[in-house]
Amino acid sequence: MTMSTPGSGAASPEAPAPNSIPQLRFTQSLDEVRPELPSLLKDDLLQPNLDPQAAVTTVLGCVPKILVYRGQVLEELPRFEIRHLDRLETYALALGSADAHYHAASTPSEPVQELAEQLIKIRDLLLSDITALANRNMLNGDRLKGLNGTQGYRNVAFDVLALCAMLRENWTTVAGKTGVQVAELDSAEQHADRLVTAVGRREQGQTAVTEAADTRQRVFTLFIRSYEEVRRAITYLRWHEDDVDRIAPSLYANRGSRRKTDIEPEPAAPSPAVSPATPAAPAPAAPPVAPGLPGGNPLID
Amino acid sequence: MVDASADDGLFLGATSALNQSAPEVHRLPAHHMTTHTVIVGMTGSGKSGLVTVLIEEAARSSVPVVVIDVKGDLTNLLLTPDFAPSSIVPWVEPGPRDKGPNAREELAAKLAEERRVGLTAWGIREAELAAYRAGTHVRVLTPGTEAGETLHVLSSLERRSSRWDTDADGARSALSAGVSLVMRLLGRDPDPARSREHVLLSLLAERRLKSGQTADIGALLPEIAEPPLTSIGALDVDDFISKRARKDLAAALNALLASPSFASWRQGATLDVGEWMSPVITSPERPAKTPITIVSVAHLDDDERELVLGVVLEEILTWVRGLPGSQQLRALIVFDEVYGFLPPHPASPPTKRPLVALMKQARAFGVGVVIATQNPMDLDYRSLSNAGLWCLGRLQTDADRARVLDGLVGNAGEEAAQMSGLLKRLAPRWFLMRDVRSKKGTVFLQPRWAMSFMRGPMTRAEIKRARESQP
Repeated sequence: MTMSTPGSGAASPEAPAPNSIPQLRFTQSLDEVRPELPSLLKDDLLQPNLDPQAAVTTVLGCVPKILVYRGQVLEELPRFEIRHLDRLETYALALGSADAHYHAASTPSEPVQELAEQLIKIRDLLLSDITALANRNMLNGDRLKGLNGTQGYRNVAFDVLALCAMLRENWTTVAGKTGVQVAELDSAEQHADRLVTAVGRREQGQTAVTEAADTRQRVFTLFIRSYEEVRRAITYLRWHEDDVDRIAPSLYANRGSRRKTDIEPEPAAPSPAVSPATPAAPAPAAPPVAPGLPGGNPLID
Repeated sequence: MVDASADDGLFLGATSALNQSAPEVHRLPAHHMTTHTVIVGMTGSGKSGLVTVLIEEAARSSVPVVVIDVKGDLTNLLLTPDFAPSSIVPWVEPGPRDKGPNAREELAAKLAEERRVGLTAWGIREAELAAYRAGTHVRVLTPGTEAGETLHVLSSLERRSSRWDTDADGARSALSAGVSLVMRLLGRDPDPARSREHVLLSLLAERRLKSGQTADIGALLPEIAEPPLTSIGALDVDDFISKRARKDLAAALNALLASPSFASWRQGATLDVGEWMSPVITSPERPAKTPITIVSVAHLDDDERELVLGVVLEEILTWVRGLPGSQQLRALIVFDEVYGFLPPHPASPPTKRPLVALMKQARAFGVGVVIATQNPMDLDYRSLSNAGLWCLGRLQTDADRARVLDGLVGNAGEEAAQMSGLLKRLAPRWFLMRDVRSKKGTVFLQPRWAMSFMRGPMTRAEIKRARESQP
């Protein structure tokens, strides 16, 4: 697994990019993206119609595979705006942060205590894995001495971010030698981000939910636009191999099991009256549904 | 399989929440349509299909429908063939790419199969099609031409209605609309409150009709020249309108009478909305059929359409006002492609007043109005604000989206921005639906496949052929 430093532009998929300020990895990306947000026109904004966290996780997992084709894109698609590819990871991280901020702002009773308890478990798990790796000299365990401990919400959160950073920096060495998965690191960082945000919000009082929603929608727009552009490019390059979904899968596939998001206020849908025998649920991953037949996608992506 | 025959609302298709949860069959309670329906969407968004489904479902629920067909494609309601390709062969038109001696048959087979697959996927089989055909009676009125049934658009003036004995006010409103039509045809002021000629003609006609006589224009001519009245209002007749002005009016009316094209507007079925809404008994042994009456004006020019539809809508309004109150959907008035007929202030074609009045008042009488357009910018704001059921197809321009959202959720705030984004990206045959009487809020609506064979606008000759092939 390789990661570029947020905002660093194109990164070689072979070169790990240690992050010097790991605890700001998500929020730093959001800060970096903020100057681009006002230029987006209201009418051009896309509805966050999929689970941002799932989308972020998917794309972060795909970035290394996508970056392999950067050179080929430049060579064969000279008019392609390469910034879409170069900024993809930054946008994904920014969306993760914006989504966390939105949840923190829009949930009045953000369970700080509950989040902290979860994060303490995550911290303990990561710490035990890293300690084992350090004991086998697979990474430098000296940095463990600088951890803050479990007293105080912020201390827990920043400890988790630091532990994640240690694993990411040494990923090429430790990958396959520990039970930790990259997705867990992403999840842990998001948890930490949420806890920090929730604590800050509790201290600072009312946060503008609207502003958080607007920011998330704008970042989502940048993220989806760039990812779709990249998908188009990869689709073109890999047309005959027909493996685009392995390199850059559709974010709209298999959405049936995703969780309900905040922008969809409808009550839980009652049991479908359409029987399973009827082609029913919009299923973008399935073969396209002919116009007029039940199912299909209501939106043109 | 969807149970399309279930009897618990209008089976419009399927809906899903904006998070695209699993779709569920949507059966709209019929009475929700009494708060009127607005259908908006750009060309190709599927408006006509949705309008057709609404009409079919109203008819299946025994609700009579009057359809104003401006474009000429709702006459497709005449075509509800079975699934056999041979049944649609007469209605398909091979294109330039469909070559070969059997091009028509091959195209028919392809379209018939598409239709069969589409309908059965929505739970509509031969049996449901046959039941629909057996339960509905589609009638096409074509003012000014014999393609469909001709319509006497001056019925209220020239044919005495029994309404004069029971509802003189209603009969007078209809008469006024008829006289306004005549004034417009003459190129004169049609305003009943301002035009002296209108007042004179109305008084003369009413006098005859009240006394049990007819008031055809030919009979009125001598009375215009020499009115059997001494005064109008507080003035002598000659002071109110001079002899010379009366002579001019009589001469103009005479020229109109002599016009062959005008003659075709003065023959055919009486403009009797009550009859249009009555169940049709075709045989004493069979149940009465639900009427679908299509007033097709596709063959008329713009001015003629306004005039004719103004009279028709005034008649409908008069009929509605004579009904007892009802909470249930008693009848449906459908106006597809309402562009130009319900414009914003200050434009005021003859169709606007009755349409605005219907959308304000018809609800209390259980009469729903459905208007559909691809130009929401051209709709009167008051009408939009009266609608309780909105079906929004894809809208491409910012102005159109802003106008619609302004009437729906207010043109500001996060919800408007979200909906604007969705409207821009809607796929064909998908709509955003908001029913003010539903707790579900805005949902995606995918209309079911229409039972009618949607083959596009029909020419006069095709309408005639379709009518003749009706059972």
